[in-house]
Amino acid sequence: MLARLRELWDRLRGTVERNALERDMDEEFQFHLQKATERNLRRGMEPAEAKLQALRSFGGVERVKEAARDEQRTRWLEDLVQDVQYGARSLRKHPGHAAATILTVALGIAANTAIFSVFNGVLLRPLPYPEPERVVHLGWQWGRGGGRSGSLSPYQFEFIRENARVFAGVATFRTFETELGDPASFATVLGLRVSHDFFQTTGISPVLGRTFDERESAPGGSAVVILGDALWQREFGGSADAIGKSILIGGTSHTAVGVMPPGFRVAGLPAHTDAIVPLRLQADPGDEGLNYTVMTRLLPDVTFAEATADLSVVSASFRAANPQLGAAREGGHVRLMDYQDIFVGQYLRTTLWVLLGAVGFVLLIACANAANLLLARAIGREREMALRAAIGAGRGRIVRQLLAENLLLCMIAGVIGLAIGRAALDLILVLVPREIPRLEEIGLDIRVLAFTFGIATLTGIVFGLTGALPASRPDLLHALRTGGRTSTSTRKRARDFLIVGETALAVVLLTGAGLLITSFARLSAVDPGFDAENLLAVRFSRMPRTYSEKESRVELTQQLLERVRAMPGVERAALLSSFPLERGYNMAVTVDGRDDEAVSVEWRSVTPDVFETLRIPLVRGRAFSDADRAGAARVTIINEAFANRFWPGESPIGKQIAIGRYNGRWTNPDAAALSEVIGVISDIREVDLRRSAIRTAYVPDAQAPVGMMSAPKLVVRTSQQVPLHAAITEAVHAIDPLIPPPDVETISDIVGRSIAQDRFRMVLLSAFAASALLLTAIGIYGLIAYSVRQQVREIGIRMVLGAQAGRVLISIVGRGLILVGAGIVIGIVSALGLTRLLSSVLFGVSATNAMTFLQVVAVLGVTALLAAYLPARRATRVAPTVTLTSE
Amino acid sequence: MAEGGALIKGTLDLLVLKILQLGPMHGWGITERIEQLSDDLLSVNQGSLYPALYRLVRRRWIRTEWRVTENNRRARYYLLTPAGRAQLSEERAQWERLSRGVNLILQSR
Repeated sequence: MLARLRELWDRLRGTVERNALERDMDEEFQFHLQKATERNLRRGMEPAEAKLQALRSFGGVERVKEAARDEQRTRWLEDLVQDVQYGARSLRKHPGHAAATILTVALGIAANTAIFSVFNGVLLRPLPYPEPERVVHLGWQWGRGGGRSGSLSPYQFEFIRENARVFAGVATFRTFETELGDPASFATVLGLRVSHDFFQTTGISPVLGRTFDERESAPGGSAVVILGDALWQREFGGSADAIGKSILIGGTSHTAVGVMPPGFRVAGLPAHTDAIVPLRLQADPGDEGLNYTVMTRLLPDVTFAEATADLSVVSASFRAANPQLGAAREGGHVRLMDYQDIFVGQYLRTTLWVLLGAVGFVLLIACANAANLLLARAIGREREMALRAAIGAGRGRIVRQLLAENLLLCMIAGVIGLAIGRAALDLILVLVPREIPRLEEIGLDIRVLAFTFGIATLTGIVFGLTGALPASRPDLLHALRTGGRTSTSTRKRARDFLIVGETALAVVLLTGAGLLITSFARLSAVDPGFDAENLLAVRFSRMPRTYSEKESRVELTQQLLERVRAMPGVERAALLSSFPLERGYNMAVTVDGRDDEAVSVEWRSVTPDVFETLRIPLVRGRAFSDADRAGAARVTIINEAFANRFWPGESPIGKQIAIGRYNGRWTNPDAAALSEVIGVISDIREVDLRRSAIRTAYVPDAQAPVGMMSAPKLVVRTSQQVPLHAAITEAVHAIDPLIPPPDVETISDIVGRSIAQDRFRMVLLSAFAASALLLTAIGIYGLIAYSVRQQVREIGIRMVLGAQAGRVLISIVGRGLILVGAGIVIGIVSALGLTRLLSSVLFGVSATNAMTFLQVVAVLGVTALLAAYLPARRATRVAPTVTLTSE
Repeated sequence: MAEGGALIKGTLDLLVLKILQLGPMHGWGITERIEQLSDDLLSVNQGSLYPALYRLVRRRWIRTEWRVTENNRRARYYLLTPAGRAQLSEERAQWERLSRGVNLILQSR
């Protein structure tokens, strides 16, 4: 190996130092010739004769030089240049063939580039922190078959922070949105509350000023802020004087102590942070709500195994110190988690892997077609190859030359594919669900470029070899004699194999797409339990501070509802704390004083009209009324899932429930009272169209904590589609010009958005499956058309001899269909294995749904039949005289 | 150059190595030595000598040095390397086996 490397080096040097070697060689040969001439003179020759004789016996200086050069240089390097030049010439000679191949491969590469860009942005790019590999997240694993959570309670967070010894920092954070400066400006701040270790943990410090000190990070600390770069530029013109100045955030004056570097961001959170303020956690053991994402940085030299070991010690002492806590039961423990576990999630990861696999298949099919084109042409080029072999080109040299030609082709395809892929990415990004984390990081980077040209090279080698190997062993005599018009059996087998392969791949893709389409149709057809038609969704981002008191807020919402109800076309209107199918509050609930048996339920604050507005049927009892006001007896309406959980077969009306009471404590002192169940409504899809029967409790807004409606949601039932956007904005402005104008959309938009990821997956996979089908059809068409051209004489003779057109047709089409049939069988077997990967994202359809498989077979069968029939029919239509004279 | 004095393919390397074992020599000198030592029975096709020399250099069996000849002229000398010495004894053994075999056959009756 070493010797070979050295030899290679010498040869390379030989190529580079060509001039020096030439000079040496000249001098050496001159010396030799002189010596030879001298000897001839000594032997008595005339001077002229002596010189001529010396030259003659040397055997031609130039020839010897050439032979000597071959021994010294990298012949293969020069061969390569020659091969590429030759390849380029040969591509130019057949522009149609070259264009077809390049386009086929370029489209495959484009799809791969686009999908890989998304994959790379979401799953591969390192986190935006220094030494990102040391940043890990923490979650909680309940003991013995329990679930896991990607977040912790404030008490768990503090406990780990104090007791773990493997971390350079343990931090948690929360986003918030509030007003900036004068409320009349509607300026909004996107903020981040961070615990004390945050800067140590991310490894990112302010570029100007300092981080928060211990006192500022503790409860009761002074109001301080670290500015984001954008806000710093906007408010202080990027001046260093900003440090120590005051800025009004959420109505409170904050002193700026630092400025973050531009581009600072927390992975998984919205790209942009205007302001960072201290997060002052009350580490109350009784607050078991797992509401904080915890991020840590491992100390240098600490391995994951060491960290896991340390955390199990911490978990054990946590259990020993807090035996009463639910999380401590049955060996619950802290676990290390990946960023992806928390922010990306299994669904999205599966989706991206499936899509990447799918485009890989599309590229393979494109390769098969390109190889088929190449083989078809190789047959035409047999004479050329035979000639090259006959004048002494080695087999390796011929393969190399074909390979160089195909690599050149694929590099061109790579460049075009990159351009198309870039454009396709913009299209895909329109479809991508907004909630995908790190969306803004998706784009072309060095990794994408490497990937694109990597697959281009691989493609060139794979399909180049498929095409080149059979072509490199030409049967000289046969080829030269027949002029390369008949194909040899190796080549025919190679082409048949390609058709079977691409059919099988197409079957897998079509099956996957079919399943996703069925799944999406079922999901779209799910009855959400409410009537989404003609229902407007009006979203307030936040309320001015003046409404932080209950009375003023309730008065405001009353006014708003009155005005909206008076609008033409409006039937009903109601407010609620969160729209259906969007995230809302949830809360632990205990009933009948069974304090140890808490159940987590969804918790909604609503105005009385809400069920009529959404058209959710009341199953028992009564709806809310205006009489259920602040001072009156606390009431609640629950859904059937809730009722069935606690009082199966029994009426829950009149029962008392404790919302927010757990382990004998009230988590929210503002709502520390029992509520009486006054009604039961039927279940709706509360958080997700996929999940039915989520236990939910509704409470009247007048009796709920004011914080639940800090960003109210308004639903408006109209008699038909009426454009109310302007009217609603105006009404809001008329009530109080300081309320930021709300967003107006429809509930259908929200329903659509809730299945955006399913749509994204379905549309893309369908597009890939359609391309696969098209490419396969082109492949089959090409094969049959080619074999018809080959047999044109034979067909002509058979027709002349009286064969029926139909029989000839069947024999031609039949060959294609046998291959397709084999492909379908292989494809179905593979699909049975591969569609299982989709199981987790499918809804209402199993991964082995027989109907879908049948449909795929039908679609592919018909397409293949058509693709084979068209060229075959043409053959039988040609007049026999034409075919017979075509040689 | 006597007819029939052409070398059997592959023996040139062996002869070059052997000549160089006697001492460093330039290309012309190697030609002369082969003719002298074989009593003019063998002659080197000079066209194949230099490619052979370069090949041996590449294989690191011999190396080159520019030196001054006894007549004060610059010439490229070839020197046997330790690897070349090893190669020589191997090729020599091979050659002896080959020639003994050929001779046995030719002498058979």
